[in-house]
Amino acid sequence: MNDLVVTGAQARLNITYAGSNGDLPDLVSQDATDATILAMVTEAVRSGSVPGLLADPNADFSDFVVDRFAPTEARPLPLLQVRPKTPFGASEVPSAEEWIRCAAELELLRGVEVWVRSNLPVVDPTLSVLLDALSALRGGKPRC
Amino acid sequence: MEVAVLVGEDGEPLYWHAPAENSSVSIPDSTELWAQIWEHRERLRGIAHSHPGDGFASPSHEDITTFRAIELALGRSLMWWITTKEHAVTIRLCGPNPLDFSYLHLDAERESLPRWLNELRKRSKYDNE
Repeated sequence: MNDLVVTGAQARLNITYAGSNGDLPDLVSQDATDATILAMVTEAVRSGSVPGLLADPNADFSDFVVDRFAPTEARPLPLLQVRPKTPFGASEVPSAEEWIRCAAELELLRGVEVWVRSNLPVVDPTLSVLLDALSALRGGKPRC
Repeated sequence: MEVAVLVGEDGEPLYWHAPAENSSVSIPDSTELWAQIWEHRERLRGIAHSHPGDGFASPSHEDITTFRAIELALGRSLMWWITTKEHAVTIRLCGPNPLDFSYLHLDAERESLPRWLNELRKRSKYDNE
């Protein structure tokens, strides 16, 4: 979300974290990058510098985003809001880490299947149940 | 089409999220969705969304990191559900690592499925895939 024009103006910075919401006491440049904003917010929340938000030395904003709003009649300053990301589903370009993780999980499932087939008697009624479950798990990994 | 729904403590849907930008494989980041989550935060039990196809419903890395980010923002845990045409799972972030999760397969033969689940599948238009 970004309806701001680059102007060098100062903006209010609002943060939502741990069930609370508060503004950074100081204004920030509305042209600051998202990375700069998130780094600033991380430091502020970790040190307890945001009124209304409890200090959290482990605060993590790595999966948060910055919404940018132009000034309005009711709110004369531009507004930057830091909130959690909300996408669901597969990333369009999976990261190498995702591929490796998914491949490792699939290999683990294959390994489990081999063990099950090797160690459970053919007549064991749980064998087919387990094999069906493993097949479903492997078949239902559309993200990889 | 992937659709999301906010589910209240009473098990009733609070908000359906199916904007035009949703695709068959993703729900993009949305300021409006976050606004609804924040507005309903006091009575929100969890959030469900649909995945394409009829295979096993498993969360993507995008899903898990979104779950964690929303829980960090709200300051509490939520229930997370994912459904495909035929299968549904309940997911919880359980630690000790930030992205560790547990899941429970919802079995239609052993328990009554939540009413919103059928509506979610209907709105996901699986028959059009």
